[in-house]
Amino acid sequence: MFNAILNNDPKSPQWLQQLRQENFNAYQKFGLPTLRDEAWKYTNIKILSKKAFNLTERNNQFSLNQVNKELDAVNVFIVNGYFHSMTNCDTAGLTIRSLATAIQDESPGFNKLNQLASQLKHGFAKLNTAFLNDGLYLHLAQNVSIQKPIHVFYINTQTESVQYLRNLIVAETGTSATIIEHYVSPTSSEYCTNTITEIYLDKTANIKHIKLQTEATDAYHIGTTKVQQDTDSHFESYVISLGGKLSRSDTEVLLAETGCYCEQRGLYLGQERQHFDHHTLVDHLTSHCTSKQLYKGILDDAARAVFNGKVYVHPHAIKTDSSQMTKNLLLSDKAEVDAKPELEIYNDDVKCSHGATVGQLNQDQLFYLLSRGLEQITAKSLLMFAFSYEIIATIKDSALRNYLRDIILQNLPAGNTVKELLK
Amino acid sequence: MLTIKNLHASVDGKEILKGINLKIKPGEIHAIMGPNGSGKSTLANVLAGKDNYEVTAGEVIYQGENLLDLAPEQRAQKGVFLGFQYPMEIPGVSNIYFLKAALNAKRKAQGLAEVDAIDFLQLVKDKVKHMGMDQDLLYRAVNEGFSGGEKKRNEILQMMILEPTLAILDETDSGLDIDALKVVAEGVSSYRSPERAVLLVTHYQRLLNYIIPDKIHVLVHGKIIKSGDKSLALELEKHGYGWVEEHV
Repeated sequence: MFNAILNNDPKSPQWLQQLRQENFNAYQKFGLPTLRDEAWKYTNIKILSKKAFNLTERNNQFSLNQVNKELDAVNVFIVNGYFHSMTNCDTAGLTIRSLATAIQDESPGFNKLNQLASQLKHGFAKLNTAFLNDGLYLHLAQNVSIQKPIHVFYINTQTESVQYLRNLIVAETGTSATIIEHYVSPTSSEYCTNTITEIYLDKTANIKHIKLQTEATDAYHIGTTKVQQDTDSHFESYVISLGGKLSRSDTEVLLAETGCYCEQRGLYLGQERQHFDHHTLVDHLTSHCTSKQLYKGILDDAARAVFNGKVYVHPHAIKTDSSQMTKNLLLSDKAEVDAKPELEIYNDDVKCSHGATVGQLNQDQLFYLLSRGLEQITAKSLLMFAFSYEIIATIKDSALRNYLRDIILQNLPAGNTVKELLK
Repeated sequence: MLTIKNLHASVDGKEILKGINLKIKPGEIHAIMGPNGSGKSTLANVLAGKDNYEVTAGEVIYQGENLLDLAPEQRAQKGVFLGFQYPMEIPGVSNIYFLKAALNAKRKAQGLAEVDAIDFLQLVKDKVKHMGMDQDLLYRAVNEGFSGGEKKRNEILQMMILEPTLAILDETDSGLDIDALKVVAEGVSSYRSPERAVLLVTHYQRLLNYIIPDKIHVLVHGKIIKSGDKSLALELEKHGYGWVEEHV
């Protein structure tokens, strides 16, 4: 699939055609990452690189009835990499449209496109930019505050395909919104998602970003969220990875100006032979910024996970307050997690902590539940749920929190029984 | 109701229980007393089915059935209840959901329909009041951030909701102030009935000021070395466990 010929649309602006060509050349020169690349040491993508997938095609016939839209939100649908439709929304100052159209019309902030993504060096990112065509464009004009969550569905309907998604979110000064990027497959099929989302927060912007990956168990997901924060902005990231055969999700945040707050939380639940890889980077470029990270995972059967979190504190980034934690439960002898927290600090006036734990379900807690008559599978699922719930407990919007809770429960062995208990 | 014959149990290859014999009839309250490390909590945990104890000899017959053949959840469903010395915190699961789950698990095993939600709420609220507990505790995560006394009251609350046939209370009195002790004792007394039995495991005599047991057994080094009526507790209080050891 990755030897595909570059499909460079001659109607695109000259700069874009050139950008695609440059990235395609870079991909051809360096290829896809291998286990020899430090950032891909524990994630073998060899099986993926051998697949002969086709580029996804536009599917306007796709029926949205196949998508679960139970959350009360502004729904946006992107099918096979092409902007499909969205629910009516006439909030002044909120613009959601196809990225292709935004580029064509030179919509506000479109020139930020690829400023952050160009820093990504690996072959998947190069391919993503080489095939940059469509995706989400979301713009929040100054001081606009959106109450309802914006729920963006990325849907792939084509088996044995690769979909390239490029998404641009620009939050101007004083804005606030909750944005859910939700990757789904309406049918169980084998395909690859290659996605990059760039998010730019201007001064005091407040963005809650939820990346929810519930793709088919045969799907491959390679994605990066690149974020840049301006003065006093507030960014919360939730990465919930449940589906896919192999799923790599990176979240990289640049704290470019002072007074920023950045919180990253993540959850992965692995079964059978699922493989999850999460890399985070927080780049403390300037002073008085706070970053917090908590990633948790439960791995059963022969599932594997990688967590690599890096905090980089530059010489001028005094008064940095940073913490990073990863906690993992292994439920089987064959499950494996590779946790690698990294801290690089280049000044003395900081408060930084990091840690990693790998354990099993707490046997005393389990016995306590059993001694009250709960069945083994219910008791275990309840403890798994309690472990997982910590990640979303910080979400104050109860409708959204419950929506995420129910999705987590669907991925636990006795999730339905536990759900009954929570009623 | 419960017959323990020559029970031997080990942890990590070390023998803790060295031949326990005990018989409890319906309606009776028995107290097991003994110094630290005598095997009191081990006995309680073995009866409830904790899996890091290995039973090396003996049998436990509960209502005509070999208790040791049953999984812990089956024992609970058949009416065995262990009040924990150190109740576990279960973050993310509210107390009231947990109570309902436990009650329904038992009812399901007995072939009964699930409890009606409104009836259940009323029942729980009555019992909470009875136990002198704050209603808010129902909506907090199980035992999370509870004080020592609140945790112990919560154990008795669970017992009252689940209505076990055999309640084993492992040092429920430890760490309680006198008011909490009285409430807990009242809870146990109100639970008492001709069909039910209680096994109290305790280090101190003071709980027995409020709950009068039918029999007291002294457990030392994994064996019951002396049994008697309530007056035995007073002698123990006066002379200490060393005295019993010397006089058997």
